Parts: sequence; structure tokens; C-alpha cells
Amino acid sequence: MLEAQDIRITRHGNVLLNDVSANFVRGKVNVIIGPNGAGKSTLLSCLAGLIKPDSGAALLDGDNAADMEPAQRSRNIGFLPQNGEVHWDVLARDLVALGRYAHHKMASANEDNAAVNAAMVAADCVQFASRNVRSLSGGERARVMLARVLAGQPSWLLADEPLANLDPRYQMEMLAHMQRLANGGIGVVAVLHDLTLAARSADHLVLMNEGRIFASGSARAVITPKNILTVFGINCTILSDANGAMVVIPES
Amino acid sequence: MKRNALLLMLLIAAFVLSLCAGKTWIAPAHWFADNADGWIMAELRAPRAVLALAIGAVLGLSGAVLQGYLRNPLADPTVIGVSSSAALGGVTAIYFGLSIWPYGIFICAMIGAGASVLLLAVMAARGNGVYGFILGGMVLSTLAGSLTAFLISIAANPYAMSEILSWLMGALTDRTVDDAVRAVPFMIIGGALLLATGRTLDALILGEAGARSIGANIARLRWIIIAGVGIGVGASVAVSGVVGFVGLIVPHVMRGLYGERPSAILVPSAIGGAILTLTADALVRLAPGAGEIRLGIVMAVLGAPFFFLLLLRRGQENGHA
Repeated sequence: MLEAQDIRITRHGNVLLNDVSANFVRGKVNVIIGPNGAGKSTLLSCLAGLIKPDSGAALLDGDNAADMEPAQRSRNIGFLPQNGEVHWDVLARDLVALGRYAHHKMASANEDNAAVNAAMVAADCVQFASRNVRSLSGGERARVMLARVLAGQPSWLLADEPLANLDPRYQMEMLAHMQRLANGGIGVVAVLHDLTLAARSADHLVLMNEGRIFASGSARAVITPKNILTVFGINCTILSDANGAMVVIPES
Repeated sequence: MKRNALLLMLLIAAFVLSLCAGKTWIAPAHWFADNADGWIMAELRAPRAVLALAIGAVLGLSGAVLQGYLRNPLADPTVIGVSSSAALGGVTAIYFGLSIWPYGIFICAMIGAGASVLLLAVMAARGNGVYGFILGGMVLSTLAGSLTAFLISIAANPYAMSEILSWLMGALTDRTVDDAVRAVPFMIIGGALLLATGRTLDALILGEAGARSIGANIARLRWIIIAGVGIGVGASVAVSGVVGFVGLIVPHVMRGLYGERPSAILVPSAIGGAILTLTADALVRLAPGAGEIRLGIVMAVLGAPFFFLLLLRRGQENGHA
């Protein structure tokens, strides 16, 4: 279980997270939504152990994530940063192999290769293996970045806006990947912006506002016209499509 | 591997050339002769060749590490002001008379180099971006140069001034066995530290946050680089003055041979740096004329057009991509 326990973070006098507590369980797609500046990315970085809270803690199966040895933490928690920066001209396969960083000296070269190959198959990017990552399109690169995380064989996938800059087809693919990983027992926590996609993909939904958790639970319980009006300041209509899935239409 | 064999052969050839070349050409058959040739070889040529090899290796390696760390192919100990800060440290040592103690110049040059990397690392951590960093380095370089000039101008007597100037202009002329014995261990320590950075440099391809998320210890990397560049480049400047361009050119060439991954070019850049410096220092001695041209000047004359050519080619490749 990944747990936020009374996390408080203050930076430059602004309270970014205000005593946030939340539980996430493995095998589910957990989605965090909320307006810009609500503290979603900060919470995700805390859960990944990348930011140490001023008070409170992110607990991975009871251990404080920020105090864990970096390599051990990384073997458990895979983190997909926003916009996946790539700072150097490297081949896609070399980039995916970086996902094995925390397994250095713990796995054989064969195990590393097998994990990299399996991850590239799972994320459907084998065909880009020997291409320069920076020459790939946004959607292609997103798949390579996902493979990079999967190569580390983590128990958790934390993804910060994994659908940003993707066209609808790649968005659907990415959500399908996340669902498949959750079905395989991995805990997925993703920050999303699109309310309809969030409602459709989330097993568990968390709505944040001004550094606090405003509501959490099932999509139907969390995404209501009243909550959306309070948090985002806009009216919305909520419909169901032919399969009964939610459609959220914001109104000006 | 063909490219490894090629590099090693070039290294050996450059080392042999460096031993042979000079006002008198000494063929290998006379290296151990019991006459003036043998003396020149043991007391002058051999320490000089060893120093050129070590300096080139450290500078090439430092360039490769700094480029990977800063994720910027323009980084180099000279460009970002590390060499000139080391020179300022050395001049300070001479000015305050610390050069009486054999290691005085070394320690101060290393502190100067380490402090400049620390300052730049703090700037990088504050997120001033790649251009901020390069500009900061250039300002640092100018400042260190001005302070060096200031120290020269207020030198107490002509003797102190000439001591500073002759050290600054030193290049590799008249280096003794003692100089080599003092400098090389530091360059080995600095080089060993820098060689240990490869995996973490690769992780930085993902940016600092991404690297930390896969378990890389970026804070530790920063200290290793500060210590490695400080000790290595500091010692090289202490013994040879400022030799530019090696750290800028060599990693570029090695990327063409070994690919773009930062860890893949560390050892090749060290070997390539040694080849380039040995060759340039041999050319300095083969050039006709009464005096000797400074190694730093030859390096710039060799290096600048080469670098421009590389930049042009890279630009074209990017254009076609």
C-alpha cells in the first residue's frame, strides 16, 4: 500500500500540501484530478519519495519513502515525470535500459536484457529500439518513456500527466497500458486533467483543491456538478454514453 | 574492437613521437644511450611526455564528464572558467609566497578549480538553465582573468612578477622529473573519481528529477565531479598553465566513434585527450624558430577550426533529421 500521511509542504511561504492523507492500493488505477496549482504533482513527487515533506510522510508498505535508500525505493516505485524530458541524443533502447539503473549489480546482464526487451514489447515500442529518442514523435516517445519505467519492474507506477501532448489514439493506448498494468497487480497513480478520461479510467478517484483532498472515492461520487463547480469554478453536464460510461461536458 | 585498437595505436605513436621530437631528434635507438641524448631523454623528454599524457587525459575526461553533467556539449574546463580559476589559485599562491613549498601552487590551483565548479553547480541547481550556466562560466573566467592580472600588477617586485608570468606562460617547457612526480598522482586521483561517474551521468539523460526517480544520487555525483575536476584540472593547470580546447574537442570526436551515451565516451575521451596533447606538444617542439610556441596557443590554432567544422556538421545533421 502507498499511503500519504498528514503530508504538509510549504515552499516560499505558500502551503502546497496542507495535511494531505490518502491511501492507494495495488492492482488499481488511482487517478488524481484538480485545478492547476492544487498540489497534484507535488503529492505525486512525495509519494515517489522525491520530495521530503515538512511534516507527515509518504509510506510505502509502512516505510517512509523519502528515507528509503534511493535504489531500493526506485525498484519499488516507477516514476513517469511530466513531459518526459530527454537531454541527450540517445537510442531508444539505451534510454529504456536506464530503467534498470537501480538493479545494478543485483541482476545479471541477461536479466537486464530480458527486462528491457519485455518492457519494450509491453509498451509497444520495439520498432523504435535503434532510433534516436529525440527524433521520435510525442506519442512514440511516451511509449519509450513508459517502457523505461516498466523495465525497472516496479510495484508502483506514478505518472504525472501521462496523457499530456498525446493525440486521442495514443491517449487511449496509454490508458489501456495503465489498466493492463493494474490488472497485473501494479499500483497505478496518475495525475490527469481530462475529467471524462479520468472518470472512465479511475478505479479510485482523488479530487484535490488548494493543497487539500476535496473528495475521493468512485468517479460517480467524486465528479458531480456541485464538486466541479466548487473546485474548478465551472458548471458541467454529466451524461452517460451507450455503455454507461461517464461523459463530462464543461460549460462556459 | 577495432576503434579501441586504433586509439591505443595512436596513443603509442603520439607518445613515441613526443619522446623523439625536439630541437634534437632522438630516435628510439638512442633513448638509453650513455650520453647527452640519454640525459635529455631521462631528465626532460620522458617527464614532459608523461605530463602531456596525463594532462591530456584529465582534460579530455573532464570535458566529457562536464558535458554529460551539464547536458551541454559546449562545456569544457576552459569555457566554464574552471581552468582560469585554477590559474588564479596558482597565482595567488605565488603572490603570497606559498610557492616556496612544493605543493603550494598545486593546493591553491585545486582549490580554485574546485571552488569554481562548486559555484557553477550551485547555479545549475538553482535552475538557471544551460545558457545561464555557460554565461556564468564566461563571467567567472573573465573575473578570474582580471583578478590574475590584478595580482600581477600589484606584485611586490619585478622578480615576483616574472615568477608569476613565467608560471602562467609555462606550458610544458622545462618540466622536471620532480614536477611529474608531484602532479601525476593528483591527476590519477582526479581521473579515477571522474571515471566513476559514468552510470550516473547516463541517468542524467532523464534530467535531474528523472535521474533521482530511477535511484541516482545526484548530490553525491556533484561532489565527486567537484573533487575530480578540482583535483585533476587543478593539478594540470598547476604544472602546465591553461591548455584549452582539449576537453571541448575530444568528447565530440569520441561521440562519433562510440555513440552519444555519456558513459561510453569517458575512457575514450581520456585516451583521445592524451593523443591530442602529446601530438600538439610534439608539434610545438618541431616548429622552426628560436623560441618555443606556447602549447595553449597551438591547441587553440588546431582546435578552433576543428570545432567550427564539427559544429557545422552537427548543424547539417540536425537540419536533415
